[in-house]
Amino acid sequence: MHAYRLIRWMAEARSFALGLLWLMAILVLGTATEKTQGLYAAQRVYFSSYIIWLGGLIPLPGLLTTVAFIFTSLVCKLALERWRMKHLGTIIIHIGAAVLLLGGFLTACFSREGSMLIPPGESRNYLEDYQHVELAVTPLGGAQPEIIFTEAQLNAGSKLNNLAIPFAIDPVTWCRNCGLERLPQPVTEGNPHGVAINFIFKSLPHDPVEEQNRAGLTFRLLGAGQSDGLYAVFQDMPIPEIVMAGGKKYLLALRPVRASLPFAIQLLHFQEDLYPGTDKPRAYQSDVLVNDHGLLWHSLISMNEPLRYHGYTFYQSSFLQSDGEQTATVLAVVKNNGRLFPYIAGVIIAAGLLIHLAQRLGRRCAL
Amino acid sequence: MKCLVAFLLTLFIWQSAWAEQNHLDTHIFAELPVQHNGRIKPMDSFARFYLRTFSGDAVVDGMTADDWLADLIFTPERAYGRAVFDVNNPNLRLALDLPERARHHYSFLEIAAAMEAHQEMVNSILSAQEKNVTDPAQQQLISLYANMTAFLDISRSLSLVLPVFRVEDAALARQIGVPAGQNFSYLEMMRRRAQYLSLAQSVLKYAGNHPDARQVVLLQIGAQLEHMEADKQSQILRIVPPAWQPDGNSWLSPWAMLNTGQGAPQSAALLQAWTRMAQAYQENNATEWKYAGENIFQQTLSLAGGQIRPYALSAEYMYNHAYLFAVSLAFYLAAFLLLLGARRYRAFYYVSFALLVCGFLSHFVGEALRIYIMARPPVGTLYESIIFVGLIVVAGSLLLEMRSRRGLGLAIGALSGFALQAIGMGFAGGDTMEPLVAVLNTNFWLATHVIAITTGYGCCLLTGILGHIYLLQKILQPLHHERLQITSRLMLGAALAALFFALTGTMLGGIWADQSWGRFWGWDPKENGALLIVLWLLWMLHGRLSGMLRANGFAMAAAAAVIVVALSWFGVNLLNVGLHSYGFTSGIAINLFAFIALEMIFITTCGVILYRRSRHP
Repeated sequence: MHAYRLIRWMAEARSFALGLLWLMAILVLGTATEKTQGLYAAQRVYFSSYIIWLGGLIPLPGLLTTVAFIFTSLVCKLALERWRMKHLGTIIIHIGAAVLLLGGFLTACFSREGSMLIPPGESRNYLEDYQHVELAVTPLGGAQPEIIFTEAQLNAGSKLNNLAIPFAIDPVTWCRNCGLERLPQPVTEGNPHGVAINFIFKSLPHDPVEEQNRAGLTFRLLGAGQSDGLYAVFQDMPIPEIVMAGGKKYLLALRPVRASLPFAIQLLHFQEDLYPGTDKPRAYQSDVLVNDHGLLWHSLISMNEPLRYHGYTFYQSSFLQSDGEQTATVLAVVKNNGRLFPYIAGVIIAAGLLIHLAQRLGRRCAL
Repeated sequence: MKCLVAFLLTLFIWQSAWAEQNHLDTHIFAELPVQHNGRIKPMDSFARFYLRTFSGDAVVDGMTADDWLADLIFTPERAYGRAVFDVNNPNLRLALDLPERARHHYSFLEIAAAMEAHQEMVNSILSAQEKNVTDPAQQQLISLYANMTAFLDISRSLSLVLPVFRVEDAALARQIGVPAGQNFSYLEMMRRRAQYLSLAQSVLKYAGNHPDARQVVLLQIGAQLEHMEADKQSQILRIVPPAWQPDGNSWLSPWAMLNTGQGAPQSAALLQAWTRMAQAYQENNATEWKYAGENIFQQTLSLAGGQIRPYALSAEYMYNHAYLFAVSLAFYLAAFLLLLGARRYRAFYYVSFALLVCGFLSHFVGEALRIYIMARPPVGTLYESIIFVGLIVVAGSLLLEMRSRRGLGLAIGALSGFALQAIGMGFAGGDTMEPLVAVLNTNFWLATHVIAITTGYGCCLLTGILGHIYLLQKILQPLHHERLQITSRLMLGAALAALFFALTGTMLGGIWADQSWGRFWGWDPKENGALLIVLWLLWMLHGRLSGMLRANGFAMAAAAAVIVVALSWFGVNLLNVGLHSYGFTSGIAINLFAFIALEMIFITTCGVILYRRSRHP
C-alpha cells in the first residue's frame, strides 16, 4: 500500500515540479562553475554525478539522480494515467520527454569522446583523452608493445614494475599542471639525467581550460645499471627522454591517454579560408583519407560538416599553427550510441504538440 | 523584393535630387562598391563607419559622411585641415596641449603637430606593450594614433590619379612628354618616367648651388615623387576587383594594384574613370561627375563578375539613410504617450494603435532590408537578437491587443519596443552587418534554431511583462476581477507560446550540435541558458497544474521569467566560455546585475504585499 502511495505521489505534477526546481539549481551552479573551474570540472561535480558533495561534507542529489527522479516521476504519471482521448496530446508529449531523458541517460553512460591531432601527410589511429594522461614506455626498434602506467598509478607514488621492461620506475614528484623552474645550480646528487639536471617542477593550480594543463613527473629509474638515476618528463617535451637498459633503448613519454580506433585517418590537406581582406576565418577544412584495414575512403571535414564513420563522428575543432604555417589539424571525435534518441523524442513531442493543438482547436470550434 | 527595393529607391532618388540642387549628387558616389571588413558594401557604409570611428558623430562640420569621404579622397589637402578627430579625454588634451573647444574635435594637422611636439612621450606609449597601457587617456592616445594612420591611408587612396603635378614651361613639358600648364597625375608621370629620368640626369648633372628655373622644376618633381613613395602603403579603400588572383575575391586598393602589378586593361580603365570623377569633384562639374560615377559603377560590376549584388548596394544605402529602427523607436514612444491620454479621449486610443502599427512596420521593413542585404537570416549577433526580439515582442503585443482591446497590448508593445530598440542602439557599434564567424556561417540553422530561440526569448519576455502587470493590477485594484482574469489568460497563453518556441529552439540547437559536432548536448553555457528557460516555463506550468502555484504565485513566477531570460540571453555571454561566446561583452555586467536585483526586489515586494493582504483581508 505504501508503494502505491509513493507511486501516486511520484506521478503528481508537484513532485515533477520539485525535481525541476532542484535541476535548475544544479544548472545555475554548474554553469557558474564552468567559468571558474572549467567545463570538465563542472561536468564531473554537477552534470555527470549522482551525488554532489557540498563543501565535501553534505551529500546532495547530483544531476543524474535528479534526472532519474524526474524520469521516474514521468513513468509513474504515464503508468497511472487514465488514458482518455482528451489527454492524448499531452500523454504523447510526456512519452516523448521520457524517451529524451532515457537517451540522455544512455549517452551519459556509454558515449566516448576524445580528440585527434594530425599533422599534414601523417596518419593516426587513436584518440587522445581531454583530461587524463599516462606514462608510456615504448621499446625502440622491434615491434614490442608499449607499456602504459596510468595517472592513478603515478599519483599513488609507489614503485612501478612491469615484466616486459628490465627496470622499475619510482615516482618522486607528480603534478597534473606544472611549471618548469630553472635551478640556480645544476643538481649533482642522485645521478640526474636530461631535464632533471637543470630544472625542477613547480605545481600550479589546475587550469579551467583542460588542454592548458601540462603534467610533469620526476622519478628514479632503478635496475637499469648505468642509466639509473633521477629523471624528469613533462607533456609535449621538445626532446623526448630515451633510456638505455639491457642493451635496448626505451622512450619515456607523458602524454594524453590514448584509445585506439578501429581504423586510421590520414590528413591530406588542411585549409583555412579567410573573409577577403581580413583575418576573420570564413571556414576551415581538412581533407582526409580513412584507411579501414585496406579500404580507403576519401572525405572532407569542415565546420558544420563532420565525417561519420562506423559510429564515430569527426568534426573540425581547431588547428595548430606556428609562424603562420598550419602544423596540424585538431579533430574532435565522439562515439555516441544514444544518438538517435533525441531525434525520435523530437518527432514524438512534435506529434504530441500537434495533436494537442488540434484537439484544443477542435474543442473551441465545437463550442 | 527587388521590385520593392527599386520602387523605394526611385522615391528616394527623386527626393534627394530635389533636395540637393546646385550641388554634386553624392548619392552616385555613395553607392559605389567597396570591399571592407570582409564584405562588399556601398561607399556610404564605408564612410559612415570611418567618420563614426574618427569623430563619434554621423555628421561633422555640417557634412554628411559621404560628403566627408569624397572630400577626403578627392581633395585630401583640404580634408587635412578639417576638425574630425574626437579627443574627448581631458587628460589627453592636456598632455598634447590641444586648445579647449566646445566639441573636442581637432584636425589631422593640429593633432599631427601636437604629436610631433610631444614626440618622446607619444613614442614611449606607442611602443609599449598593449597590456601595459592601462590609463584611459593613454589608451585613447593609442587609438587616436591608429585613427590618424587609417585617415592618412584613406586620404592617399587615390593620390596616384589626382592631378598634383604641373609643368608651366612648354619646352620642358614637351621634352618630358606631359601637357604644359595643366595638372597631371602620378600615374601619367610614371608613364613618362624614363624620359623624366634621362632628362633629369642630363640637366641636373650641371646644377650647382644656384639651379636655374628648369632645374628647380625637375627637382620639385623628383621631391614630389619621393614624397609619394609613402602613399604606396595605402590599402584600406579597396575599390578595384582583382582581374586575376589565386583566391579570386580579395579586392585591391588602387596603390596595391599598382604595387603588385595586378593591373589589367580593364582595371586601368576603371582607374581612368576614378581620375575623371576626381577631376569632376575638383571642378564641381555635375554632369561629368554623374557620368564618371555611373561609369565606375558599371566597370566595377563587370570586373567583379557576379560578386556584387547591385540592388543590395542600393538597399544598404537606403537602409543607412532611412534610420528605420530610430523611426520605429520614435513611433513606439509616441504611441505610448498618446495611450496615456486614451482614457479621456477614445480617439487617442486609435491613433496610438495606428502609431504602434507604423512603428512595427518600419521595424519590420528594417529587418527585411537587413535580410536582403546580408542574404542570410536576421539573427547572427547579439545586436541582431535584440532587434529581432523587439520585433517579436511588438508583434505579440499587437496580437494581444487584437484579442483584448483594452490598451494593455498597446502599452506593452510600445514600451518594450521602445526599450529594446534603445538597448539595441547601445549595442550597434561599428558595422552591424559584418560577416559571421565560421561556425555560424550556415543559413539553415540560423533560420531555424536561432529564430526559434529568439522568438522564445520574445514570448518569454512578454510573459514576464504580463506577470508584472498582473501583480500591479492585483495590488492596485484587486476587485477588478474581470480584468485580472483577462491578464491571467493572456499570461498563460504567452507562457505556452514561449515554451513551444524555447523547446523547439533548444531541440533544434541540439540537432544542429549533433549534426555538426556529433553530440546532442554538451553543457555549453548557452545551451544551459536555453534549457533554464525551458525548465522554468515547465516548472511554472506544472506548478500551476499541481496547485503548488496559485494565481499570485504563477504571476510572480511569470514575472521572474524576465530574470531567467536576461540570464540566459546576456548572462552567459559574461562567462566568455563555450561555443556561443561570440556575443561577449564586458560592459554589461553591472547593468545586468542591477536589473536582476531590481526585478527581485519588485517581485518579492509584490509577493509580500499580496501575502499579507491574504492573511488580513
